[in-house]
This record gives sequence, C-alpha cells and structure tokens, in this order.
Amino acid sequence: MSDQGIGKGYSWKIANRPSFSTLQVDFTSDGSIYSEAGSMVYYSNGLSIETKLHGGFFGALGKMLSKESLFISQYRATSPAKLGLSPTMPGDIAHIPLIGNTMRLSASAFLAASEGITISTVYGGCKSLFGRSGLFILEASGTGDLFASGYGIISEETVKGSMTVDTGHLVAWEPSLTYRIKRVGSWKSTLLSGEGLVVEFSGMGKILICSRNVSSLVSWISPWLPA
Amino acid sequence: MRKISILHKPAYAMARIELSQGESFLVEAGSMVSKSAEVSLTPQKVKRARSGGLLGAVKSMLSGEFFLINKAYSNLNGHILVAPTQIGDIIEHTLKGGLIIQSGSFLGCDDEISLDGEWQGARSFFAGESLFMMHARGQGSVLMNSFGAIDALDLDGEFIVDTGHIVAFEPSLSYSITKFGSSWLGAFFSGEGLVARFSGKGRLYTQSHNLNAFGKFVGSLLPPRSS
Repeated sequence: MSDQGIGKGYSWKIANRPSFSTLQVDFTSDGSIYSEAGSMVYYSNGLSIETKLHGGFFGALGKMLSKESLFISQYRATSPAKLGLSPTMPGDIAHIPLIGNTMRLSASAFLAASEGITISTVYGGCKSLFGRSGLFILEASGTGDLFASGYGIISEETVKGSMTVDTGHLVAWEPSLTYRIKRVGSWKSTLLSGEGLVVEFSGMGKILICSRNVSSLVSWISPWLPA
Repeated sequence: MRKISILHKPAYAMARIELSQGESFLVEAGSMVSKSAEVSLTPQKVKRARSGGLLGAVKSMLSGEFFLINKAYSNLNGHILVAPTQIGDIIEHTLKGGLIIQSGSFLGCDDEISLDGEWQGARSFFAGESLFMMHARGQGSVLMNSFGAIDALDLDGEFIVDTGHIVAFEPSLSYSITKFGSSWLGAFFSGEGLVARFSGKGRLYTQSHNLNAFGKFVGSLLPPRSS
C-alpha cells in the first residue's frame, strides 16, 4: 500500500500514518473526489461542494440501518485547491487503486473515491440486520483511487482456501473471494453479546483487515456508563 | 531555567516541564501525571465566556463562570509531567503577539502568559458545546494537545476548517463562521458541523481528528442509560 500518488486532476498523500491518518488531496484544476459526509477536516478556495444522498433511496435505507452516514460530499476543483479528509475513528487509511476491477468493502470503511469509481450497496444477507456489528457491504468498481479507513492499523492478508474474519475487523476484500456471513455461537449469544458475526471467505484473493474493533470498544465502555 | 520536553510523540504524547527554584508554570486541571516533591500545585481561576442563549446561561451557572487551572510552583529544582486525556500529540508554541486556543486543546503555559477566557469571538464558534476559545497573551510558551496528529499551517489567503478540528490560531487571522458547502440543506445533512473561513496571514493549528464526531459515533452505539 502506498502513501502517496497521482490521480486524474489531483495528487494525494496519506499523512500521519498509521495512528491518525489524514488523506490530503491537492487538486490541480479539474479533479473530483467524493467522500463520506462528515470526514472533511479542511479545504481551500477553488472547490465546488455538493452533498447528496448516497446510493439512492434503498442504498440510503441500508446505510441507515447500519448507522452509517447517509450522505456523501462531492468536491470538484475549479482551480488548484486543497482538501483534507479524516475518518471518525483514529487509525489507518488504505489506498486501493482500481483499474476496471471491483473491490468489496464494509460500509463503515468507505472514506473517499475519485470520480471514475462508482459505489453501490450490496445486500449483506438477513443476518446483517441482527446484532450490532451487522455488515453492510459496498461494491466499488471503475478506474481510479479508492480510499478505505480502519480503526487501528490496516494490513493485507492473502486468502488461500479459506479464512474467517470478525466483521468488526474487516475493511475490504477482492471479489474473487466468495463470502458467507455467519454467526458465532447461538442466536441468543449473538443478540446478547452484540458481537459474533464473522465472514467466512473461500477461494483465492486478498483481504484488508484493521487491528481494532469498534464493537469491542463499545462492549468495553458500556459497563462503565453511569446508571 | 524552565525547560520543556515532549515525550512519546505523536500518539501518546506527554510533556515534561523542568523548573528551577522559584519558577512556576500553569497546567490544565487534571493533567498532572507525576511531579517531584519540590513542586506544589495551587488552583487558579480563569474567567470564561458565557455560552450563548438561555441554555448556555444555565450551563455556565452550573459549570461556573470560571475554569480552573493549576499553578505548578517549584521551591527548589523540580519537574512535573502532564498529559492530556485523549490520545494524540502535544505541541509547543512560542507566543508572538497572542494565540486563540480552543479550550479542550489547552495543556499548559508559562506563568507570565495571561489567559482570557472571555474572548469576544468565543460565542459564534461552538453552538451548544462546552468548548470555548481563550486568548493567550504575553511572553513565553504555550503547550497544546490534539486529538490525533497536529498540523501547523502558515496561512496566506483563504482557508476553511471544520470547527471541530481547530486547535488554535493567531489573532492576525480574521475569520467568519459559516456553513459547509453551498447550501444550508446540504450542510445540515452532510454531518459536517460549522466551518471557520480564515483569511489573512498567520499560523493555524489543526488536529487530524474530531473529538465530538468520535464521541457522537461511539456514543450512538452505546446502550441507553437505564434511568
């Protein structure tokens, strides 16, 4: 994974990796990038900004259920300009270049993409409606730069055969892998513990995982709340 | 001679302040990690601005018109270690004609510096939040902490920053508080809060992550308080 590069109408850099990563974009003239709403840190003059509903109504409905942001912000350069984007959670940002191929990612991992990439929401299966770590999946395809974020450090793993990953640690995976969302343990333990959804991958391909889990953080904090 | 060193940058930064006999240093209340026996702490009151509206008036009645900082005084050669609550970095800034600091980022300063929590521009910055801006004036160093990494930007011209990412700025910069993007509807739905549009020349410090956004996100996943 690289820390900097050049896209169509912009150059980008991921600063302060891995703990407090920020995506810094320098637009030359006519570049365009869209991001998860709420991720903007700063921008300079020279950008036109539009906020819109992500993935249409049904996509938005899915995201609402998964407590993801419903909106994306589109930044289009009209003259040279700067933009800074940070994910909500402290951690890493991964650059995923797409050249006409597809990448799947956990909805919470989406940070930004260049204009040549389209994002659609994939139905994650009925199991994703239960439990707090429900998985909503995005499919990114096209040509350009995709940026994914993770709580903690993002690392790449290669699947040969099969691998099981906790949904809270899953960032992205190649579509050459088939996946199945599964519970760990009984329905009762899934609902009570608020965790226990895993993804079972099989085939050959790469996955990106992050080293920390938001659900685990929440489970840890919850008992400390005042009554 | 007072000496500051910043340890464990950038994720878990901590400041060590060495004091000679008779010297003192101001530190944020609750930030002390350890101190040598020669150093004593005395609370000091700093007047703070009332937040706007009726709710703000009630709030400031409850929280007091003052905020407390501690004066660390050393009767022989001694030292004190201070650390912020949140993970992140610490930066030392040498005052050149004042600095306006977001209250949550203040960690400490030389005793010769005067702190004014009633800074005129305070109200417009953080509607309904417990943060306020304070004006540091005089000679010496200020220590500031950030949620995430800290960036020092020397501005010359217009620049827009989400208010949740502001650490501090020099009063030579003028600013206006405005909405994100071009439409109020978009600003409302985008999840971006208010932004500050800076212009002029001067230093601006920003933090890579937004503490309120983090709190909102993690808070939304917590179980409801069992009243």
